[in-house]
Amino acid sequence: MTSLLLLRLLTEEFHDSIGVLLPPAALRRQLVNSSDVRALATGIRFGEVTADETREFVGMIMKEFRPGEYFHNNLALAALAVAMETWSSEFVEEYLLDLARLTAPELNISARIARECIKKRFALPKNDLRVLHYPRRIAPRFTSRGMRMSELPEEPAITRLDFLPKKYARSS
Amino acid sequence: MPQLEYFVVCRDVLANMQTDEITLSHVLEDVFPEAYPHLIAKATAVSVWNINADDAKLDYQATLVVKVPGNADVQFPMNLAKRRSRYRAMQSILDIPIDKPGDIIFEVLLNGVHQASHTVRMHPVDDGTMKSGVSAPPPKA
Repeated sequence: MTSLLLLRLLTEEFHDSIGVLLPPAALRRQLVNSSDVRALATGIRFGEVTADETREFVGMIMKEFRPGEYFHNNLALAALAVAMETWSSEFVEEYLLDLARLTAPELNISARIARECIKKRFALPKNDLRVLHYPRRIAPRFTSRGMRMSELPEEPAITRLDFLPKKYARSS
Repeated sequence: MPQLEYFVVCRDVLANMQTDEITLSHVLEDVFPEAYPHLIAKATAVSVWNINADDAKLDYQATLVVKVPGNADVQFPMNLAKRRSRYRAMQSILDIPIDKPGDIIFEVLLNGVHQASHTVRMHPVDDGTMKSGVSAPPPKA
């Protein structure tokens, strides 16, 4: 099911709120200030709108694309690019680059906005967090207490369940 | 060539999703283990790079080298992303085994060239003996 935050981009109310189509840099600023785009950006950031949902949404609106005809959802593609421009993920990278590469005149607005977004994105830091294990061949298996597995006593440390309240103790 | 802004090793990193600010918590400098062998459960090496517009299209490899006393050096390579002017490389290394006291050196290389290092001192086990040779009184029961 497509999120309402995405569907909002297809409404006339959203189109009216943006007003006349400005040059790319000014239009991008206009979209950044739009409450609908800001709500969508927050939704993306906090996982309310997922990458799969966005993909599905883009697929849905692109079904209406007819070469040589005015494309009504151009602004929705541009708004989506602006909403995701600060988000660091493979999907966003792919979306912005693919959109910026398009040369079809029907998609001129969204492609030029995507290029603006890429310019803006260049100034933002990219966070790359990786979790790595120290190699096992060097680090023999340790327990959480820092003992090697081979150094563990043969008998388990806790052999009786005396610490449990009596009502939980199993009667033998 | 990318310029290293800072390099530090800490226990953990927190990222604020709204502001994109990061918090480095518990910077590792001195560790006083209760016994050896000791295990550092997690150490996060953070290196922040500034990349010129001309260099943003080129490939650069930042390598983290971990030198633990008594063990062979271990390398963790990472490619810096293209099309960015700044890059925060955060590498969390889990389960670093320490067999004896000494200095653990975390070194960062850019295309194989040394850029910075961070030293964590592993102190010997405190056996209760003061420097003057007088034994510390036993703890009260």
